[in-house]
Amino acid sequence: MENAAEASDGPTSAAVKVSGVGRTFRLGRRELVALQGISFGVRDGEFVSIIGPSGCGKSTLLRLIAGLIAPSSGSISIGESTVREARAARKFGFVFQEPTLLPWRSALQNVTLLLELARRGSAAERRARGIELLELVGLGQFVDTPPAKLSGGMQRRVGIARALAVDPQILLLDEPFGALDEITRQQMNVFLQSVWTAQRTTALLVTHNVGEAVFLSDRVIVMSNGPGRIVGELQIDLPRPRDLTLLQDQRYFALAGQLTQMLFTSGVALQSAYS
Amino acid sequence: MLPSHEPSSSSSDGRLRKRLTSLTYGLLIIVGIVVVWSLVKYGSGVTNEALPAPMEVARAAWVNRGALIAATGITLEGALGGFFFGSVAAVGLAIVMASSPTVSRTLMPIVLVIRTTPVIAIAPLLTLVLGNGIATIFTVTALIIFFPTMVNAVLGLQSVPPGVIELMAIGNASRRDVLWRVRLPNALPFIFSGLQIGASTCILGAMVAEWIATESGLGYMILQAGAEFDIGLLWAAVLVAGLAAFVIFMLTGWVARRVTREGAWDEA
Ligand SMILES: Nc1ncnc2c1ncn2[C@@H]1O[C@H](COP(=O)(O)OP(=O)(O)OP(=O)(O)O)[C@@H](O)[C@H]1O
Ligand SMILES: [Mg+2]
Repeated sequence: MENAAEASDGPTSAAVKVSGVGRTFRLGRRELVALQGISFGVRDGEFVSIIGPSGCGKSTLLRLIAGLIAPSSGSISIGESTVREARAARKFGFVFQEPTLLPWRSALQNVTLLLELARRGSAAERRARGIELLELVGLGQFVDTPPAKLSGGMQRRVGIARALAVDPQILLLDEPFGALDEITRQQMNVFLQSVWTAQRTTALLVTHNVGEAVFLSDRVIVMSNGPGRIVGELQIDLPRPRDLTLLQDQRYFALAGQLTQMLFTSGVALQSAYS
Repeated sequence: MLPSHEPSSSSSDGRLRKRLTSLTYGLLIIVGIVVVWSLVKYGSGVTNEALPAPMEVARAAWVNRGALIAATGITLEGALGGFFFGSVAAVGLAIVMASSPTVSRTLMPIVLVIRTTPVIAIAPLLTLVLGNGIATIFTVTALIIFFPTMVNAVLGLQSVPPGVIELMAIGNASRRDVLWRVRLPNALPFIFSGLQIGASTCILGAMVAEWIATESGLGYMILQAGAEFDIGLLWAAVLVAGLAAFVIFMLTGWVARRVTREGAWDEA
């Protein structure tokens, strides 16, 4: 399970460290344990996917890491700093599960929003960067279009461009390609891999898609629910850069099968749904 | 994959036709009102004091046109000034109220007391402090119109989706950034619906102020004409006031549509 990256970057290279984290929600009088005893690390520059059944706490986990909510127990650190400090330093790029676009802003203005908040660059520079990113996600013709006039998948891509705009050190993606058709999804996967390689970001991707997890990741963390916890981990030692020919590769099939197996043997999803 | 644009080729032609039809529509309504009015007037035994004939009102308006125009100008000034200051105060107060539940709980009873107090009751106090001039007119009008805008603005400021607040947190946005870039734009359609209610009431507000504070304007003219049994002029002044309220209301709606950029809001 040892990775070459860790050896070269030394021991201080844990970009994200989650230690014994639990999170409880209060739903009326009931207490809901959304996450329990979650521990894992993400190395600097590593691409890690989290896969697991609906409701097992994947979104909650990303929110905790970004410091949007606080853990009920355990602790999280981002490099040498706390999540709060990391967020204040604008280290995170976050692609939300919902598009979360501002309806009164054009696609471009949505992409440049976080740059405006960071007071980064001149208005012209921000605009140029925004257009560049929209072109990268295939929306070059929709720069001035309001979100209401974009399709669901297009809105999602605006959200991805927005997260990339601030050149984040840690990219948190919550099912970013869930609403996309299979072909666009594959194109976006290749695109995401190239962004990740070029910007040397650390990426943490939540997905439901086994193929996507294998294609993109260095490592996949498998979760299960009731309460949400980690049930396994799979190293993906496929050579990079990966392209679409990988989808016909035997090793790809083997890993995808192995992952599917892990998901199903953990099989708490249906059980808890009927209890 | 082409950007979808609304058909714009026949726009100037279509817009002209649209304007013409709305003009004829307006004229038809006025003619209809006059016809119904005449029928009621001559078809029943209503006295002149209760309801003068349309022609009599028109004649009174024409004879007193100078005074009527002057009074309209005065009332418009009071109404628009009060509308403006009242609305600014409403949005300002809404921003303060929306900033925290504690502040809101503290301020709301005070605002409700002010809202419920009949203006007549505080008229002596107002005129004592502000005098018998435009300041009192503005204040009374503002007091009468501010409430719907304030309530709507609070709602709009607070109804930002939680996900957007999280997005702003990811961007490490200050409270000020959240207010200016998210809360206020989000509240704009709400504020405008409050403003339209205010716009429909501000002429009445100014006339109430004229009744209690000054001796000029359409409100005063109505009182005066009533006292002198000049029913034609009274009705002329009432109609002009109604027309003024209508124009302010329509203008506010027009501005609202322009500012909220072709309904990007209501599709959200
Ligand atoms: N703000 C909240 N208040 C109360 N309960 C919450 C809250 N957020 C999440 N939960 C609960 O925590 C559990 C995990 O939710 P979460 O959104 O993290 O799941 P998920 O793994 O992202 O699911 P999906 O794949 O469907 O998006 C759910 O049972 C949910 O009801
Ligand atoms: Mg989720």
